[in-house]
Amino acid sequence: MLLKHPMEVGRKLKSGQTVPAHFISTLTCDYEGERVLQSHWGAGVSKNPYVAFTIQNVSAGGKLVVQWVDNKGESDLLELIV
Amino acid sequence: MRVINNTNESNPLRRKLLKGILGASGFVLPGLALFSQTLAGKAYAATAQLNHAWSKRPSDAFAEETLAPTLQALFGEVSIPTSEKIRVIAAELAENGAVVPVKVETDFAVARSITLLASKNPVPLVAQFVFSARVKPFVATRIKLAQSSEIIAIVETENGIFQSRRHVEVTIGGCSA
Repeated sequence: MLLKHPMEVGRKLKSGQTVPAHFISTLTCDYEGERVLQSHWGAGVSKNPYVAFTIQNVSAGGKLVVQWVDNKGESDLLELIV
Repeated sequence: MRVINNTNESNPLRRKLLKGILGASGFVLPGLALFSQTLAGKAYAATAQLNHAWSKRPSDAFAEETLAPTLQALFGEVSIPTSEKIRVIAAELAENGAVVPVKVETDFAVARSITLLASKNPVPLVAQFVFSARVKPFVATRIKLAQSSEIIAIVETENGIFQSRRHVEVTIGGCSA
């Protein structure tokens, strides 16, 4: 999956301005209400994160819920049907 | 596969984010696969011995700035043997350290987690993926490398913790991205 997020590490620009860190810190995936993946990220994951993993033994029509939370408390939730 | 439900439509921020996600590429789970009943049955039996309690964020490890203390914060005072059952797949030369595709493949039937580290990053811990028995011990993602260094994958299995490393030369560091 591909997510859109700046994944900013936080840094000081030459102009003296600082760019605060802004990155997804947790991403989870549930299949049919059962947690199958929980991941903890730092700012070392690239901008607009790509993640692939393999869920075994799923049935067509099963529901996947992907959620993320970032270090600023913003979050998102996506529901998908296999 | 399709998105069925945009919950909480009234939240404009959320809607914007969702739009962003969908706009980026659609939503693809490339690795989604159906495995044979036998294989899955075996995997479940083996995992019964693993503690699959969902982990808390390893905040201490994310606060460390060098590799050794990071590993100690994650796994304690243990030496982590190298295993040929783990393959860290990444290009030998990364022109852009901001986006380095990495794939971790393993020959283990089940594993509790895969942890990705970059030995010379300002924060060596990049990501930790914790799996249920349903998820194959495999992950692919894209990470940042501040400079030429080793990408380390550590896999927690029912028989202990193992690692594998891959050296990647970086032409332009990924700190500014």
